[in-house]
Amino acid sequence: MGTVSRRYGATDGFVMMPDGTTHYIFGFVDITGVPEHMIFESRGRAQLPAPLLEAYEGDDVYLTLTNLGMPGRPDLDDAHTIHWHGFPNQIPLWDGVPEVSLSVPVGRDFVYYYRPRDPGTYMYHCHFEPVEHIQMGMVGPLVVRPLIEKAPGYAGRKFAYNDPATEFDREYLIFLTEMDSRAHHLVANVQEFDWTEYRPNYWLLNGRAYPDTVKPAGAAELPAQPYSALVSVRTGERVLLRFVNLGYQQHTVQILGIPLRVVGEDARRLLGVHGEDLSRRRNTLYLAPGQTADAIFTAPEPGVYPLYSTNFHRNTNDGSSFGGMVTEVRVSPRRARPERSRARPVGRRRWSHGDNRPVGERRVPQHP
Amino acid sequence: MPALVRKDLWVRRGLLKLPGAQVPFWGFAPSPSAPPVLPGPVITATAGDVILVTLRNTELPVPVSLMFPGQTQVLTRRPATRWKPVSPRYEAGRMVSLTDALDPGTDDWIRYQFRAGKPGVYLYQSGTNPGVQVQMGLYGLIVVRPLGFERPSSPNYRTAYGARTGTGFDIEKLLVLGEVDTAMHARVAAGAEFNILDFAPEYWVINGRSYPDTDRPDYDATLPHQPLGSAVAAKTGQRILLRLVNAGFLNHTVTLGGLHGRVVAEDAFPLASSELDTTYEKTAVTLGAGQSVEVIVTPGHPGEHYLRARDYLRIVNVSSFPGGMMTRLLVTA
Amino acid sequence: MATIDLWVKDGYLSTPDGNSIYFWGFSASPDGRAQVPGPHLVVRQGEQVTVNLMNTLPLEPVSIVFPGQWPVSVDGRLARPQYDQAGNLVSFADHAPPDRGVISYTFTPERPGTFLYESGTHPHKQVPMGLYGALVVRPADYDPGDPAHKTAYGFGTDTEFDREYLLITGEIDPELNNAVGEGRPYPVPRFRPRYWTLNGRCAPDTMLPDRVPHLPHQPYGSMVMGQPGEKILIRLAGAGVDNHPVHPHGNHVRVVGADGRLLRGGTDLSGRRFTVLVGAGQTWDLVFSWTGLGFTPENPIPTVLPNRRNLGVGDAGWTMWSGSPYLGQKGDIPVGVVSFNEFGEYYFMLHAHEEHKITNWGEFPGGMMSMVAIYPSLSPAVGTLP
Ligand SMILES: [Cu+2]
Ligand SMILES: [Cu+2]
Repeated sequence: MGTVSRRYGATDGFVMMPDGTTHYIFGFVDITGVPEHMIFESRGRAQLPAPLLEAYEGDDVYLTLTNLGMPGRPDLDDAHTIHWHGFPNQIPLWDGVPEVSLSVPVGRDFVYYYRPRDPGTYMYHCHFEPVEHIQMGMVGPLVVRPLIEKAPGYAGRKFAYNDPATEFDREYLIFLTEMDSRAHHLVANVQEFDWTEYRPNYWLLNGRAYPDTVKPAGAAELPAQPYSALVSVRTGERVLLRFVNLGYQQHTVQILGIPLRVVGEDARRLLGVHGEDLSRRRNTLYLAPGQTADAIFTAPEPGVYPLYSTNFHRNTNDGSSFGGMVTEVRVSPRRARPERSRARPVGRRRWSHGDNRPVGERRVPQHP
Repeated sequence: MPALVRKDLWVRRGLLKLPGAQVPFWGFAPSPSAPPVLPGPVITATAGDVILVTLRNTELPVPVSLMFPGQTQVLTRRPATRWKPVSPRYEAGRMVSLTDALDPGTDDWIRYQFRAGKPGVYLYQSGTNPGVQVQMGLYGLIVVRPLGFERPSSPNYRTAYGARTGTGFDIEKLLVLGEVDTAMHARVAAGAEFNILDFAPEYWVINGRSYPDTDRPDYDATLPHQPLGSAVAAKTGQRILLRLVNAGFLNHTVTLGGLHGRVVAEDAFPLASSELDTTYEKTAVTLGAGQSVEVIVTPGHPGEHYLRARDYLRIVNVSSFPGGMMTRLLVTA
Repeated sequence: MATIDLWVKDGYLSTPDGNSIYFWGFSASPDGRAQVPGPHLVVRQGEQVTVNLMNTLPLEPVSIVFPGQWPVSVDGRLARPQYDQAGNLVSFADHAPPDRGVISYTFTPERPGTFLYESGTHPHKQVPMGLYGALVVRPADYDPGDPAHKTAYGFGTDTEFDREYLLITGEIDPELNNAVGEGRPYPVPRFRPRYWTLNGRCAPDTMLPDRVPHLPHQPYGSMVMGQPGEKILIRLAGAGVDNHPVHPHGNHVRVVGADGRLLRGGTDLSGRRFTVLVGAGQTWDLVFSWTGLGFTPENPIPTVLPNRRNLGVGDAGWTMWSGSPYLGQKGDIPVGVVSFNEFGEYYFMLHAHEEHKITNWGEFPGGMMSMVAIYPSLSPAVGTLP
């Protein structure tokens, strides 16, 4: 098995909404490999959502959390943690709940260790003052890849789970959160927010609101929101959508014209005790906060298929519609080439097709 | 033989009658002189049929459209164009409609066509500014029957999804859930701005009616815009198919009046086949916006029950109980 | 045959932030106090149950409905909805009139499982006011002395458990309670919960034991306790009006039952989830087990535990951590930090993942949150229902 070593800084930053507003956030930034004397240059550069953490089943994952402090709130000396939401059989030391283990004060590091055993889609977030730190943006996606991808006969192909029925050609992350800009504003200005008055006015996919959701990964005008939510595929391809809800509201989402097959929920393949395929077929996905779903579809005829919240009152940017949890599935024609579209060069980089992360971030788990 | 099922829908203004309130709404009408209804006229077809809907609008000063969640390969055309796949509409690079729309004062009509490939209950609704237009009432239902549904010799006879899906029934009830924000309706109908962040419904409806109107019969003369009741009268041992569809923006939990029911379909996908039975029993089901859940209740004993929203703050009309999302299920021996 | 007496009374709930909230609740005896949730009722499949309801509220009739139990009879006939003289619905079942009215319900639970019971009268008011509780129906073959027969759904249903807990979710808008208490009209569309509860308590009170003296109206704790490898049955019941996503740290749960039915119609549908949406009016039976990762002082963790002085330990001067990475061990806790960890046990948070719900009127920590505690060893008396 391999070793994955990452170092994430906890700090603050700003996100932008399509209506031209800018909002203060807390968040994480990837500082893996950054020389020690340069890590402070990442202060104030938190991204939303936090960097994707990915590993193979069985890998040794060492995740160092460094608290870089909040240049936008120099008075605030909050500690931070990382909670891998859904990690089975965790011990408190690495579970990231400060009340029952440790938290990381400003200027300190702590190493979390995981050896994931169960492939699927998870999430991670800070668990220090979670109602504030999660809403402020300390949330990220987490993917564990199945070992079947390394098995003879399957190498070079991609699977959601250790099950050939979960093979896919491209994968996209759909990470649902909301933002109450009043809370962000008050936190930025050292004021109290009554969290029972939580009433978001922005709804986000991968940290962005429509129409920013369809901008490319790493768009220069969205430096703190590098992940696109545009799903760009070709007819006939099998597409895996990894849905995560890390907001505070239950959300229902739909793709007009494309039914989904949910093959996994909460990082568990939907299989019966006797191996029955219990995949759920759905036109509308219902995700509560803290849940994930892995849904596969085969890309239909070329065209644009909108993806949106069926809570239609939420497809807005602070009252201006369309906005919010809306994006597009763009299907382009099959490539002019022989069938067997599954066959692909061995050793192709992960997420190289259908990547909704910026180019600079494409990285295989490092196996020294 | 697959048939071509034609339906004309006219977008019209009307007045909803809710207990204690008269509320302007936008609805679909089957002709330019017929009253618009909530939910819109039910479109019934048999699996394999082609459904062709013609949408017209001579009353509203806004673009309108139809979208068909759960259907694939929907085509559209206008008077001067050929059939083409539906696609979102953009203005200044931003999506303004999830599907092709009809502009006021331009074309006479827009058509949508698709093959109703599989049985089930489906929504149709406006895809244009749906945060406003669906709330205003532009939604309706499509019921697709399995082949042989009306033929007693067919194994699919009086089933929702065909043989071996465990969906045979004696009584069928469509229950379309929704909510009404009267302030929003008044503003939108008057052409005034409404900030969707202020959406705060205070009426909760089944088939466009709030209790006690839900208990009135279908086509009750006092409710010309809300023709469908939702009360159920059954005998013990009868299989009651409750086809719950959430056309609202919020999630809704419906309790089956204290009885257990068997969930046989979700989102128009049957849960049982000849290979695998994944049906399960519940006393209450939670539906996300746009979802459908179909339940068969087979009462073993007589009783008078109320199917109702389990969010008990939604079995009121504004603030007064009884009301809202509630209807009666009467079982006799 | 089981006979259960329930008195409807009023009282004041207390919240950890010092609020005192008027409520209505059930009490198990004439001199007992109103409580929320109502008494946990535990009965046996196939045995007739009679519930006698005595209503001490001066102005309100009260009834009880038992979702999932039918037929329910009153005076030898079927229970039926009650209407006022104008024909307006008042109650979903026969009610006990105000001011010492009495009614009695009889039913025979046909199937085992976890069920709710709740007021069927003016439920938009009486259920949020606290008139709800849970009913556990033991399978007919239940035998706590025999592991194969200590099950949620009967022998051979793969629902054996070592310990069991009942957690009922709810939410409170004190403005509703105050309005009802003062006889003022309450504008229902303005409902806005400020407290979210497990068994009627808000965190951190949820972690206190059952029947602590200073919470006389909230007798049930929600601390889930067990040992490594044990099967811990968590019965979740959604008594409030909202849905709540409940997320236990530490491990997935296996969802084995819903609404008092084994999730095994034609096919075993039990499945593992890390967050369970507890829908309003619904119940979920979960089996939680924590086996750990095998780390012991002999098989140490692969990271270096840094100096505790360089890290935050606990919250605001207290911690539930032992100071050691290992179960049953104690380590250094910095001076000045109080440790609420007696035996080197592990704590895993269990909470609503709509995070504003883990506050008391906006202040974290609070609300719908508790812990799962894994002890190196634990008395078998812990984690039992009557
Ligand atoms: Cu979490
Ligand atoms: Cu947590």
